[in-house]
This record gives sequence, structure tokens and C-alpha cells, in this order.
Amino acid sequence: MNDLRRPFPLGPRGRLLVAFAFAGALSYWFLGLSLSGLLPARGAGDQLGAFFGAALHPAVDYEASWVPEGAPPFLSNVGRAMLETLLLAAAAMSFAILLSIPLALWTSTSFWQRQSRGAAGIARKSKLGRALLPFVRLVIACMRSVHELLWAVVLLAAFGDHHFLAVLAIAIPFAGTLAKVYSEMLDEAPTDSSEALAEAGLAPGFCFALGRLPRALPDMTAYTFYRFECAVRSSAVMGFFGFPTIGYYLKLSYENLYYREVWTWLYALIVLVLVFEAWSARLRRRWVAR
Amino acid sequence: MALSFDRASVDYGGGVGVRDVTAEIRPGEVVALIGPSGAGKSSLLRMIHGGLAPTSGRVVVDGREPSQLEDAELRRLRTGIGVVRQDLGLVPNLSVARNVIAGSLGRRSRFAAWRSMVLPRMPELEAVHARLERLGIGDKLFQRVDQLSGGEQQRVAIARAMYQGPRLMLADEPLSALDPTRSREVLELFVELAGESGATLVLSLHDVELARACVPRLIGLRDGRVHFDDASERLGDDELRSLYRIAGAPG
Amino acid sequence: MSRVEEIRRLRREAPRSRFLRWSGVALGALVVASWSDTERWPFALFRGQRVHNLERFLERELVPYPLRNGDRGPADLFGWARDLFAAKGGEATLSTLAISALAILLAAACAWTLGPLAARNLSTARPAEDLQGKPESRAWRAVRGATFALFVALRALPEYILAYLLVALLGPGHAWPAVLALGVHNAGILGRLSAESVENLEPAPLQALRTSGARRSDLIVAAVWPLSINRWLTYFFYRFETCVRESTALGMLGIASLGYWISDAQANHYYDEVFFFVGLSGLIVVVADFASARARRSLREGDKLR
Repeated sequence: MNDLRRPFPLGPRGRLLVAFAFAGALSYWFLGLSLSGLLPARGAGDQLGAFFGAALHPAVDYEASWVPEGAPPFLSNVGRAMLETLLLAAAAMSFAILLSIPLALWTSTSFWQRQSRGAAGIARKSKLGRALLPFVRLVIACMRSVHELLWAVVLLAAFGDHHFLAVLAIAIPFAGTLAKVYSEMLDEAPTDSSEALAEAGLAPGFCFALGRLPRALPDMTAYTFYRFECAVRSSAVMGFFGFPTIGYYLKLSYENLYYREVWTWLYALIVLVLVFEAWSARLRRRWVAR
Repeated sequence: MALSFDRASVDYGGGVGVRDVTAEIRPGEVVALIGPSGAGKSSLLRMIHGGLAPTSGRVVVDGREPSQLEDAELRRLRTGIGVVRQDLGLVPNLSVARNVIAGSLGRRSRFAAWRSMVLPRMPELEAVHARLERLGIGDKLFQRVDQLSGGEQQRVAIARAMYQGPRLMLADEPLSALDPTRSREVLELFVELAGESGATLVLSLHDVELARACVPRLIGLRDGRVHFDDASERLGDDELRSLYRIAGAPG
Repeated sequence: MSRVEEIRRLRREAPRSRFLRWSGVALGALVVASWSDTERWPFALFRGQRVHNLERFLERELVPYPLRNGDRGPADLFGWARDLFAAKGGEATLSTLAISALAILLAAACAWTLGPLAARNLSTARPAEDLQGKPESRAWRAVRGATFALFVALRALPEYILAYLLVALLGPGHAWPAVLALGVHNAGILGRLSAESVENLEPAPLQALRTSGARRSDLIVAAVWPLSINRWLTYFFYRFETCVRESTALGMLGIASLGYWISDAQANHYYDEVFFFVGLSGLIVVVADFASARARRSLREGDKLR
């Protein structure tokens, strides 16, 4: 019946569909794509077959015909790289969390409120803190809008090679994202318990720390775990910049056309990500849903 | 703690808030505010602990006007007032013990407050446990609040208010979520606890019959005004009924 | 029993999750282990030769070209930026956006058609019915499991690695590797999210349709899609924003997004240009972020697309 009243042959959903199709076609045209680009590159047909053929036979030993004396077994290399990937992710996440906490508190409205006078919540008197607020917001936006690999490019150019730079490259954008999400979660947390504590005569800092923070903490933890998962992926990719994580070895094997080794590295990364994902999913269920 | 309202009004702009309420409540007295929803009961309670400032008139609590106090003084006044909110205001993912202790931190130094939240000492736990036991939930001491039933949670909120050692207890609609038999039990508990500690008790209630049965003095509110204010045994059925009569409808 | 003993007993018997505790221990151990490697400590960054490198980087290499030599001043800065934008940045910006748009559309098309197949309330022999006690069809459970596993597999690998593999297989010089890599990864993410949102749908409208004789496909077209579209679009815009961010970096694999010019400038040691393009990429991510937040807010508050 609705159709009769529509001035337009398409409903809102139809119009959306048309807009999407148009955007897709425009992008396709602009990028100069053609469907033939989806076929393997010239001369790469055999390569493609070989690559996917190797998926079922991942390497358990070096594919190279000559291996230097005393080189550790291939699989122990895989284990070390997996551990290194995990450790880089852990270092980056711990650093990011540390960076994000002051930023999150600074930018969350609730941290600056005193609830003693009811819902009106007059701002606490810290002129400097409030004056710097737009600046801190800008810093957070800059941190998180530059991709971690681009941070790596800039940092490596500035300092030269160093392992801490991989940590920092991941930690900067992740800290920005964490700070933004944390501050939103803090502001959206229920206010009843912090109001109750204010009514019992607690100072604003305690009302925030004991009344509001615990209400937001389960969501914040769940989100932190999700970001940890992302950090594991990013840390693997950091290998492309010469850090000894999975990406480094993957690139090496791929450049040497050792496809079976490549699949081993891919499977290693997938296992790492899936194990972490399963762990964090279970933690989220236990911790948030209780 | 003594309370007095002197022509106190709250203007929410448009809607009816509180109009010209004048009343005296002596230390140790137990008073129920009754009346239909929107009559101004919650606003009156919130004025007592300074959560709401009267737009005209005065509210005096223990010789001071909460709305005129500096933040630090208001906090000091509030440490002596135990409030049981309608939504309870508990922290669901902390243990019962920490919830109860949190209510009393207003009187401690910063360091002592943090210490008792992080690692509560045995004497504190004993005191908390004694309060909880008095309320019949002693065995829930280390349970997380969100794992308790609604009735148990309410008792935790009462324990938190009691643990403050208040000289004035305020409770906003404490019976609204309970069935009739539980309602009476909880109301009697409130009156009893106030009697034991000598604290003044002001509650807002929906249930007129229950209020008359358990609370010695009733203040009836209607459209933000005091409709009656008398000892409950002196209040007749007609007066109580008139509280809920729709304005302008034939008696 | 004294009160103290009673309290001790209660504390002993308080419910505690061994899983949570061990998870905490494991996480703590990971963090300690990660920082016990002294090579990761930052202190060496500000010692010896590195300080000189850093000084040179900040004082010379990072300074935009027109400001570097005394003869030209800040007035030329604008011209420098405009030329860079006209020659490289503008087209690369549009390419970055086009790659993200195409990728997220592919991902959404995939996720929105396959998503319902992974939802517990639809992918059964009797869709939208309460299954209490009734045996579940094995075939449908297999379909559901397979779709779910597909989503998990698609999103397990990071976009950058997918794109890296695809560049070699499909050949360089076109944007397909980036589009496919982003599309595949996001199809996995959107797929899981849309399956979850279908599972959380109110059962009543679906059951009503079902009792009036609707088939499964009718159910999806007439109820699941219209009821979920708002939620799905929210996810769509949220992932679009991350796609833009990701596709700026994918250019470093030789695909024509902003990253291409970043790695190009880096190879030439034109760090002022690196800085310019990194800033530009940050800017378009902020813009995309803002647009996506606006779109999501209007979806939440404004006219529902029902």
C-alpha cells in the first residue's frame, strides 16, 4: 500500500542501493580496473597454481637446497617468530594502554564533572586542563588517523633501526583509538552509582574512580582485548619493515618462491590469531556477560 | 539531625515542583512523605542532601543550608546522611563488602580511603559483616552485587547507608520494587534500624495504608504543596483519600 | 564460630574464576616477557649517533623544501604543497577513497547475502522457530558452521599480507590486489557482525511471517534484510572508515594510493614529501571518520530506513 503514496518510484532502501551501485561503478571507473585484472599476471599462471598447490603441503623443513651449518630447525624458527610476534603485540599494547589512560581521562567529560549538585554537574575548576582540551583532542586524532605502517616509515626515517620503533609505531595509533573509545565508554557509563557516592559525601575523584570507572571497565576490557587481536596482526605485518616477526620470514620465503614455507608462515599467523581470538571471546563472555 | 523547610519552593519551569513547603522534623523522628507520583516527594528529599537547590525559601539541615555550602562543607554534611536511592546506585561488578565500604569513604583521608578499598582490613570487614548479618545477608560479603537478587541488592544499599553511621537516613520509594509482604518487612526494618541508631528517618512512600501502619508521622504532598502533616493515628480515611483525588473531580 | 573465622571462610569460598585468574597471569607474563628484552627499551634512541641522525632529520630533512634554503620563504610553502597535491596527492587521495569504497561494497555484498546463513535462528531446518528440545538438522548445522568458518578464515589474515600476496599473483600496476585484500578481510568482519545482528532480531515478526507460510528466502527478503539494514549500515560505515585508513598504507606495495607516494618519497629520501603525504593521509582518514560518524549518528537518530 505504501507504494501508492511514494512520489518516487524507489523507496529509501532502493535509493540507497542505487547510490551504492553508482559509487561502486564510479570507483571502478576511476581506478581503471578491468575484470581481466582478476586473472593472473602474464606468466604467473603456473605460479598461481604452484602457490595454491602448496597450501596442502606446508613446509616442515627448509625448502632451500643449501642450509647453513648450525641453522636452527625450521619449525623452531616458526615458533620463535610466533613468540616474537606475540611479544611485540604485548609490548605495543601495554605501552598503548599506558599512553591512552591520561588522554582518555583528559578528554572524557565525566572526569571533569563534579556531581555533588545533582545532574547539572558543574565542571571542576581546572582552567588549564579545559583550555588544553581541544589540543589534546587534536593530538588524539593525529595519532589514530595515521596508519601504524606509516608511523613506522616516519619513525624509522627519524631514528634509524631500533626494536622500540616497532613498539612505538603500533602503540601510537592504538593509543589514540583506545583513548577515544575509552573516553566514550566512560561518558556513556551509567551514572547512578557515582551519584550515590556523591550523595554519601565522597570527593569527585572517588565518585569517578569507584562509581563510574567500574561501570565502564568491562566494556573497556573487552575492547582492549579486541585491539590486542588487531595488534597481533599489525605486529606480524611489522616484519615487512625488518622486525623479526612472522611478516619478515613470510616476505623472505615469498621472494625466494618457497611457497610451501609461505603457507607455513600463513598457517602460523592464522593459528596465532585464532587462538587469541578464541581466548578473548571466552574472556569477554566470562567478564562482560556475568 | 534536625530538618526544617521554610516556605521552600522549587520551580522546574512549567511543571509543578515544590511550592511553599514548611515543615519541621525533630532529631530521631521517623517521617513518611506520601502522595501521588509527581507530588514533589523526590524533590523534597533531594533538597535535603543538597542535590537540588530551592529556588525560593530555605531548607535547613542540622543548622546549615545545603545549597549554600561550599563543596567541601557539603561533602562533610553528606557523610552524616545515609541515602537509599530508588535505583540503589550500587556498583554491580564490585563485591558487597567494597560497595558497603565505599559509602563511608567520605570521612576518611585520601590514603586511608584507597587502602580500605584495595585491601579492606579485618576490623572493617567485621563491622561490615555485622551490618550485613543484621540485614540477613551476612553470607554474601564477598559476592559480586550483580549476582544477588533484587531484594538482596536493596539490603546492600541499606547496609551501605547504615555503615556511614548516619544521623539522618533518606529513602526514596524504597518499596516500589517489592511485593506487599516484603514491603512491610522492609519498611519495618527501616523504622527499626533508625530507632536502634537514633537517626532521623525520612522516606517517600506510595502505599498509604502501609505508611499509616508503620510510620508515626505522615506528610501528605499534592501538587508540590503540603496537603496534611500529622501523626498517623490522627489521620482519618477521608483525608488520606483526598490526597489522591483528582483535582476538580466531585468528592 | 567467631566473626573473623566466618569472614575468612566466606573469603575462601567466594566464587572466583580460575580461567580469569590464569588469563590475567598469562597476560602479565606476556607483558613482562615482552619488556624483559632490553633491545626493546627506548633509551638507546637518544644516545650517540642516533641523536645526530634525529637532529639532521628534524632540522633538515623534515623541513619542507622551500624553507630549507635561505633564498625562499614561507610564502613558497603554499606553492610547494599545491604542486605536490596537483602532481601526486590529489589523484592518490581519490584512488585511496575509491579503493576503500569498492572494497567495502564488495565486502558488504558478500556479508549481507551470506550473513543470514551463519545466524543460529535462520540457518536451521525450521527458521525463526523456537528449537527447544527439538533435534537440529545436521545439514543446516553444517551450512552454518561452514559459513561461520569462512568468515573466520577471511578475517584471520591482515589486509597488508593479503595484498602483498595478491600483488605478485595478479601483477602490479592495478588496484585489484588492494580492493580484494580489503574486501576479503572486511567481508569476514561484516559477515560475523551481520550474522550476530540477525541472531539478535526480535523473533516475533519472523515468526508471524513464518506462520503465514513464508519460505526461508521470503523471510530473508521480507523481514531479515529490512529489519537489519540500519544496524548493518552502521557497521558498513564503521568499517569504511577503517578501510580508508588501511588503504593509505596498502599503497606502499606499489598500488596507486597515498602510500605509493610515501614509499616513493622515502626511497628518494625526500622526507619533507613523506611528511606531506602522511599528513594528507591522516587528513582524509579524519574526514572519512567524521563522515562515517555523521552517517552513523543519523542512522541512529534520524529517519530509519524502514
